[in-house]
Amino acid sequence: MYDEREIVATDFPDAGIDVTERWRDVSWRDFPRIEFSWALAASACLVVILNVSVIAGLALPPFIGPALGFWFLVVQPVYVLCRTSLWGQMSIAERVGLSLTSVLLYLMLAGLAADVMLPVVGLRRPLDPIPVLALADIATVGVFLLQRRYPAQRAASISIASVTREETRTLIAAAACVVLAVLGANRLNNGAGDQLSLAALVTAVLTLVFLLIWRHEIRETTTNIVLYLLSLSLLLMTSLRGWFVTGHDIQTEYQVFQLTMAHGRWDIANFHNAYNACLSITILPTELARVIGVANPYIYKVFFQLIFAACPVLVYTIARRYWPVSVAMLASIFFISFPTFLADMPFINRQEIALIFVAVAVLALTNETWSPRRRSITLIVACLGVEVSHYSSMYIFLGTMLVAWIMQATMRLRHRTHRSRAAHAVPPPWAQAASTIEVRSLLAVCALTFAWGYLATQSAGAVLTDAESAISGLLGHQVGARSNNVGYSLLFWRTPSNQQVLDDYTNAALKLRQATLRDTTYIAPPGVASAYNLRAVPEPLLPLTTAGRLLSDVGVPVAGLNTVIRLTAAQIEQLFVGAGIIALLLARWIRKRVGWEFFCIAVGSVVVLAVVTIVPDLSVDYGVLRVFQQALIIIAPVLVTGAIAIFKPLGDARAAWPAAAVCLGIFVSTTGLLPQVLGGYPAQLSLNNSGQYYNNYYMDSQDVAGVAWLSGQSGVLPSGIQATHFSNRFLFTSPSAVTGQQFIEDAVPALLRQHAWVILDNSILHTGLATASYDGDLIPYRYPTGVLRTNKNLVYDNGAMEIYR
Amino acid sequence: MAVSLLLPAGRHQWALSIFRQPAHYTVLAFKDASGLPTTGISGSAIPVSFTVGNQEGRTLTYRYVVREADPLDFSATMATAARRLGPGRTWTVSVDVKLRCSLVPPCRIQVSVPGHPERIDFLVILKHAARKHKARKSSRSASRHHVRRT
Repeated sequence: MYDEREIVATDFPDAGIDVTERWRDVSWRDFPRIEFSWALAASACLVVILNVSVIAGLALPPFIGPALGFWFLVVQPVYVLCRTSLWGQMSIAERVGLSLTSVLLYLMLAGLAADVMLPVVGLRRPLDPIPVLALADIATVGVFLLQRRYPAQRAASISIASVTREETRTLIAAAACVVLAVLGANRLNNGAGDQLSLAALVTAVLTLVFLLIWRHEIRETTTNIVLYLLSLSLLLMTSLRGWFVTGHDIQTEYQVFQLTMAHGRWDIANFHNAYNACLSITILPTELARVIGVANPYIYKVFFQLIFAACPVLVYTIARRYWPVSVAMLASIFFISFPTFLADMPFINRQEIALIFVAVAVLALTNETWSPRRRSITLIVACLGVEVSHYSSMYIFLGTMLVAWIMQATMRLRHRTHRSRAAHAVPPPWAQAASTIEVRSLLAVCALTFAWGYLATQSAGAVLTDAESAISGLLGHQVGARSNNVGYSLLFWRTPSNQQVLDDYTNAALKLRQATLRDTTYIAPPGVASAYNLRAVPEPLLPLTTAGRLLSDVGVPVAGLNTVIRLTAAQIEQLFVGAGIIALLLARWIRKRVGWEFFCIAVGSVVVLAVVTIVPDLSVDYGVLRVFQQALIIIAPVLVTGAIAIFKPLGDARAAWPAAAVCLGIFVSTTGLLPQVLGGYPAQLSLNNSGQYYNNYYMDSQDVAGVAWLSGQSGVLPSGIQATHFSNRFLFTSPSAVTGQQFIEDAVPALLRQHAWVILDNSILHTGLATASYDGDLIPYRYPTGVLRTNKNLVYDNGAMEIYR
Repeated sequence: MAVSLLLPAGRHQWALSIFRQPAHYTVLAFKDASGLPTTGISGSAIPVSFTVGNQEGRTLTYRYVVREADPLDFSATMATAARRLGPGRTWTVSVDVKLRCSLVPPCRIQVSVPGHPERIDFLVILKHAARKHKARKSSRSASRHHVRRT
């Protein structure tokens, strides 16, 4: 299985040109005459139809209109850019990645430029439909002219007749996964069962198995499409849960998106918050919404997922730089198997966009067919994309590059010293290779980060505070917090219990109460408040299924089994990464294959991951799982190499099979398939209408109706709203009510204010459980609803939401 | 697949998988929730205004009941009426109810719709009729304060 497959001709459509060299002598003669083609005519017609519909405010038919809008704004420019020779000799996936990020960066930066300049000439709403349409038209004409000027020498195309039987089967299965995932999410949203979602997961597993078995018969392009469709199905399974905005970070992301929509422009002053500094969730979704014309939540729920599903394909492409198909496939599967990919990424849209830029940055710095200068420029531009998309992802990537640069500089210094001692010593190829991450590019990236984060948006303050508290915690000057997620790490064996975290949470609330007692009227005296001893309760588990009961009857502890599998999966992945790094260092045959720079950034990723895990506070503020997901873009193939190295004693030819089995086993467990089939594990949102994520993040019709009623009441904003975690889902986001001034306070019993509006959601009303969010952990506890019923008026009730005043 | 479309149960399953099914619920809310009275005079009337919303997807007859209750287990119906409401329609009720709770605070005024679990309520601290003048004065003062605040 661990073998090299020949790359087919269509993977490298043409030889490239160096744009930086040929850009100077452009004249109109360089643009060949436009030849008529039906495809071009059809495209032009569709562009005209879309322009007319947006300008006239006409609604195009459902599904067709949004599809046409997305095609116009993203798909067409990406397709045309792919058909240029700008990118040089590279695979289709890499061309798509570069073209996609170019279009996304154009949309964000052109939107920003319009946002800054158009108000100067009197246009106060530069992100209204017509200016956005003009930007899109400019992009369309621009990419079309680029394509005329730099046409690809040979069009990359796939003939349908050349598609093999194996390819057809995997493509159909992958497409079926998407359909089943969408229908499955709809069924769950309508209160029906998980049958179709489970079918989607089973189909996905089978497709992956056959993709691995038929890897010799399936071409690279087909593999990319299959991986894209499978990733998309996993993302949609989660993102489409709920008919409204559902999830954690996505609530505030939606608020800043709606704020930009309502004002018709982006302004950091509208809401001075780090979320509002991310153009990926302010300007980009606004532009998409203006042209696509779909209900605003679906910009994130569908269209961002369509974009992000390209990321696992880019992970595959990065791995293909140095590894054979089988390793690259497994790397990509490890990437989508990571729990954060399925459960969290659809709720962190800004990071989705940022990770695509990170992947393209890695592709750029490992592209040895490009000159070092071109690599550096592309790296810097990709980093600009990361920075304006998501500040934290940029800090993590900057840390990775810094470690890589230190490693390279150390190695060069070592060999220079060595060479001076032995004049005839020949430095190894690693030390000779021209690096992309050098002082100038690092300084440029630092300057970009500083300029955007500090000068333009002043959102970098948080990172300085974090750094300060992390250093302080590391030196022992203060007690630093760590998320319970570090418990999955091989570096930590013990984390505080849920009750300990809850006690800390209660103590922090009581301290805050004491500090603000003079200015705030709380509903109970301090003595009573201290009696609110909140009790953590274990997270409810799914009941055992028939299969689970059968296993239980023969003595298998199913609940324990699921937990052990998850924990083991997390630790195995870390073990594999460690083994992979060691294998790269020790095994000469692998080292010859892998670029030195890639090795350095892989080590850099691991170091940054370790730092976030070890240093206090960082795992709370950045989320260790999210950092791991980002690191996997680079280290996924290293992880697979480690797995194969560990299984090497079984024989060179056989080592990849157990590695593949472990990979698929992890996929079966982390996607929720195994826990769902057996029961005895906390419910996952993508498969159930229960569980912690459902209780905390799911918005239903009654929630939306309650929030709409509340936004119409007088005195809501001055009095404030309190709700138990996760409260941001109750923010007012309708165009008439959205504001950057609103915030929702925690309704922990000790801090219940006399005049605040307090929301009790469906979860508390039906299970009695609320969730405390503290130090990056979610701790369920029994909520003392009697406190509210005794002290406040119950002013609104719709069966799933109660509002007290 | 074609067979499933012929059967009502099959069609229902397809509908569950493709189309959004409406949620069915009843809404009960006070009209001016921030302006609810906090004090009252025993034996005097206070205005109560609330809305009943029918989101059950079919026409229903709603009967509201306004009750008062105090910690001494006193409980009495203060007002009740019924009306047929079409789907998606709301019924705004404004009634004056006479408070007969004891002076042991608080007196809870509760609005419910029998046959539905939803209910809303507010707490009133009653004062003796002899202090009527003073109470009215403080109530007016609170009202003025409220107006300024909003």
